Amino acid sequence: MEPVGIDQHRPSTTTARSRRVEPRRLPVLVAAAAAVALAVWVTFLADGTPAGPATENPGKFVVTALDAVTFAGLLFVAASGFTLIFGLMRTVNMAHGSLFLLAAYIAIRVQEAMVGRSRNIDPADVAVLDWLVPLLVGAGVAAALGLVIQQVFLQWNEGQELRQALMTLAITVVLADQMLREFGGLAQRMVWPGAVTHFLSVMGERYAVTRLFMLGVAVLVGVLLWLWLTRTSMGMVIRAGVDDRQMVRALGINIRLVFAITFFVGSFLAGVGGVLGASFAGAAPGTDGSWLLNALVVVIIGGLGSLKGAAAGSLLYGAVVAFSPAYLPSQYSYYAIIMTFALLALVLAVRPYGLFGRPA
Amino acid sequence: MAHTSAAQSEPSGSAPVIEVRMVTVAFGGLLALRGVDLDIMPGERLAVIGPNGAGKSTLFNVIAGDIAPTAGKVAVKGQDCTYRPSRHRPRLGVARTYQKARTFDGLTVRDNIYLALAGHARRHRALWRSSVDARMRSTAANVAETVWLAGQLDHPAGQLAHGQKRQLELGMAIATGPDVMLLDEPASGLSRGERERLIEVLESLAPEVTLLLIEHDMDVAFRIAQRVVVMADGETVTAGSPAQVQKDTNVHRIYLGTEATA
Repeated sequence: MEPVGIDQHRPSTTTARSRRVEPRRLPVLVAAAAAVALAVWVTFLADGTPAGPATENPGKFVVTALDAVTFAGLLFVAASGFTLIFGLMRTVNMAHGSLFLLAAYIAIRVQEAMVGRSRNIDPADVAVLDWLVPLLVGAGVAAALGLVIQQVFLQWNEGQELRQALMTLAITVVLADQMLREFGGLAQRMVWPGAVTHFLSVMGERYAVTRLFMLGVAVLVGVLLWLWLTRTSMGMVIRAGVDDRQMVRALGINIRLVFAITFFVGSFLAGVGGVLGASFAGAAPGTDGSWLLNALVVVIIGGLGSLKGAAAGSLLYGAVVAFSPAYLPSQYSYYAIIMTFALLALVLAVRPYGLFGRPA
Repeated sequence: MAHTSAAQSEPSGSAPVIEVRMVTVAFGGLLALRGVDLDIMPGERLAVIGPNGAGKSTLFNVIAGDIAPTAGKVAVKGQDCTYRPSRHRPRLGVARTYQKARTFDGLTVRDNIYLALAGHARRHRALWRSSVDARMRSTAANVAETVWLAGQLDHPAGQLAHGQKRQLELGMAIATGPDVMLLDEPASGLSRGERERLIEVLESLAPEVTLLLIEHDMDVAFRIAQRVVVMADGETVTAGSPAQVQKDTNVHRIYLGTEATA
């Protein structure tokens, strides 16, 4: 008989935190089958679609793939700040879209002031600095506002995720009204610098260099973020905080300062995304909500709090957004949006915490 | 029963590094600690033992600053720390480990130790430095060697076995060069071999380091400690050298649950 007495408990070697969630078999098979079926469809069968089968019309396929990757770049910039903030502080920042739109509007205003015209700016008149300076001003304002929101509303509610989500949601509503008053209800557009406003010829198709430029900015942002997180002590503290905030604090590290800086950087990234988005597709009331949704979809696919996940999620989401209108049969193009949610459902069925997510 | 508790040690001339005075902790109606007094002298190796529910962990958490006592006082190195949160303890030279190893699974062993060092340095500038700094590399490597993790220096902590995680946690505590180490059940869940290593590491600490451990494992407690305090029902029952405590009939009664025959 086992002696009953002084504790014999032995913590198991795998704790709940470190356990990777193993994918379930059936959903994996379904996902694999869906991926193969889609690849076959796109390559050989897609007759009667806007693009046609890839074997018959390779140019269209390459352009669609480029569209996917470049749009993924924009998605990544918009989502990376969101996932950074969530990963460290567990704050679901519902104001992320508002910061995105605010930076866009401010950048547009600054660009108008720099170029000296307010409508119909010709890209030829826009020097690289006329784009870059507005970008930094817009993102800087978003970052400063984000920091104020964090300091005034969120810091003292640390750990109260629902409260923080509701507060930032309220801020979104206020900001949306104020931006409507200040910037009006018409769609506005940031103008790309003339230096990148060209077209390339890709396998017989014209392709805008501005989209590749956008991808370049996104890659630069991703590399800088990665270097920051892996090569500096502050990045190390942030990664440690993602694992165990309390323990970081117990070591005597000033995690409040790290929280503030992370919120600043996350909001700055929202702003950079906003300026890219305004150059790419314009800014208008409602852009804030749709980009909050985009960021949410990306990080849910990729796994909340993971930068790798944000990159992977952006690529998958970008691929679905670019391919579905091109390769759905023409009479069903209208349903392209549904494919986004099919992707979401499929990913969550295989990995309930997202591709690179861990249980919180 | 002020200052007459059995837990008082013979005064060794210098002031106690940790003073616990009449500490009472109530969780609702439950008294987890009932007026506990405890003095820990510099360089002392003290083990607190007792059955489940005796109040060991509560006492530990009060000393570590994670629980504020309902009444009483805690002082570290003469400074009143009763209501100071735990994050101030490292600055006083107090390091601790947890009952369940808390390491940063996404970081390498080296980075885990570095963070412990950075937190201790407390300079905000530590946040701005590059993590590849030669001095910290060598310190981290030395510490890792002390706790038998030299071979795992660049492995993510998440891949370590349970025993190795405990070693790493101990290393993180040792890295800051503390005067006082608080160890919460350091031997729990360890294999026999790992336990021997733990004892060896603890015995190799500089003699001036004060050690307080809460332990279920009597073997570890009796081998490390110079003085053992036995707790039951939120009070200190007996204190003395391991040999004295082992002979004490009260202790037998507490642990074996038999009625006192005397």
